[in-house]
Amino acid sequence: MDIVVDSLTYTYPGQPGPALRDVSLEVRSGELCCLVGANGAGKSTLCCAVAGFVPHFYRGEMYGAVLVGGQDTVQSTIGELARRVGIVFQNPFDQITGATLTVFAEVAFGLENLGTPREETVARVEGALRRVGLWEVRDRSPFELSGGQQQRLAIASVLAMDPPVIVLDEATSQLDPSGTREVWQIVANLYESGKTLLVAEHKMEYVARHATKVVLMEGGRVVASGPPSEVLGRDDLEAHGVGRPPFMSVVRALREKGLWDGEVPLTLEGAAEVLRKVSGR
Amino acid sequence: MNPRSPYVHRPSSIHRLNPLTKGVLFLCTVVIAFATSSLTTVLALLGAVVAASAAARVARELARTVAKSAFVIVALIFIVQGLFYPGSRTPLYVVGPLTIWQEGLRFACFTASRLLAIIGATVLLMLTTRPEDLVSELMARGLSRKLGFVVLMTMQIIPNMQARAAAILDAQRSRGLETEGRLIQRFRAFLPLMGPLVVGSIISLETRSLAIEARGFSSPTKRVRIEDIPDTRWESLVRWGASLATFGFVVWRLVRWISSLIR
Ligand SMILES: Nc1ncnc2c1ncn2[C@@H]1O[C@H](COP(=O)(O)OP(=O)(O)O)[C@@H](O)[C@H]1O
Ligand SMILES: [Mg+2]
Repeated sequence: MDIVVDSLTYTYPGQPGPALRDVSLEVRSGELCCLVGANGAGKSTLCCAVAGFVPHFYRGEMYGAVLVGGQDTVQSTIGELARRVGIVFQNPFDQITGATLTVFAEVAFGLENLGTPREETVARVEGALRRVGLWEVRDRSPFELSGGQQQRLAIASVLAMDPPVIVLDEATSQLDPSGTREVWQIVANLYESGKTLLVAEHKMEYVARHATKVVLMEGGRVVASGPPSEVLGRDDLEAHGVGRPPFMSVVRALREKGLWDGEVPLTLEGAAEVLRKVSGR
Repeated sequence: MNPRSPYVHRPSSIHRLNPLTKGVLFLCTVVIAFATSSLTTVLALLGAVVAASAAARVARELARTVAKSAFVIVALIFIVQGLFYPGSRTPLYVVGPLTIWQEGLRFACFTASRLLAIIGATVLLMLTTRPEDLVSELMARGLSRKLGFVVLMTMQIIPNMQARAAAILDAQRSRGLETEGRLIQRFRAFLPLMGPLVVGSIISLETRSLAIEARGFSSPTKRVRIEDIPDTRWESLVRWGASLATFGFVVWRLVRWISSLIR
């Protein structure tokens, strides 16, 4: 299911200026699109627009359109959109509904709301929990889990509802390195299974490795969008508040010195390969 | 299980009651405690609460929680009413310039028992009923989702703020801020906490609402729970019986009150 954002301009209620300015964007079905940009660039607002929270939850003034699977989000209710778009937020703790006492019940909550038949719910919850590696802790309280586990729980809760589009808004920014790695393993796995993914992310080495498309935002506008090599290869990347992965900077430095004339790789292993070639080993 | 809820899981018939039954009995207790003016009735309610807590095997938790929350106010009631109850005529003890009156003590007994019965019933309900189950049961019986949502969120605000305050205090202590010791010092430590506490709680509440919406909470379909909370005809009978009896009691009290006004 694809996402089309068409000239979207949106202002939060009571704010002097828009948080999104004339944003246009297309994420094709099965793509993994990463949103990058400094704090306040508008990534979260765009994520909320795709999930329909802008304008359904936040209200405010919206021009332009957001289409998910060809359907206008403004024409749909949040309840309908929950079946099409799953969203995971930054703070793992805040996403626990507090309406349930076990990890299992927490994941089942969404399906219960959608009126899914009981046997199907149980099967889907088991599938989702196994997929994120939380099946063993299914009887624990969600509040007893670690931050990384809570974030995987939030993903499982969304996965169980099986939406074709999944949005992650800086889902790793409060996690430690191992928590981040686990979440990205799940994201990569979701990409393999054909989900359409929109991922706002600060940790650029993961963006470089996994994205099929990168959208660079600043001040509510889309500055650039394209394949990761193109966007992360821009000379003015840092000027837009986005740090390049260090290994890419190293290879770029080699290229400036004339020591390397090939591609700048998007993974650490690729960079290591370049260094090996350059040093003649 | 949930560190933020006082619920204690014990295998007891009280725990297994339908949450609605417990909710109704709780409301009846509170209403009668407010409506009555008889010490016997209030003591009977208090006795029922204690007996139920014993049956639920949470008597000790009940005693501890009630003592913690009501000790000061009960002591105050006895001191103030014992010494200054208006219309007191029968002195009981004379301690220097102070006289303890029998009528005052009697009234203090009544007020304190009434208070203890109400607090006891509240604590007992919280100890034996998961709030989630109560809300879920109410929603299954037609409570609107919006209202259910508000109840769920409200129940989380206080424990949520406590957890947040503890985390912030911890962070500030690790930066060398003095948070223990004399009252003035503790108060000074508390001030810089207010900003992050309030803002943090609002943001957290917003995220939680979004997360719940993302789980289809406002979907128009009828909720299907994975586990039904058991209910029996017998329990339904108890609910109706208790509600009618309470209603009858209130009406009877009103009639007596009005007739005493007329006379
Ligand atoms: N709930 C809100 N109410 C009002 N303004 C907001 C709200 N959320 C974000 N903004 C503003 O919108 C702009 C974009 O913010 P945001 O989408 O959160 O950016 P990012 O996620 O890239 O950090 C910022 O100027 C921010 O202050
Ligand atoms: Mg953000």
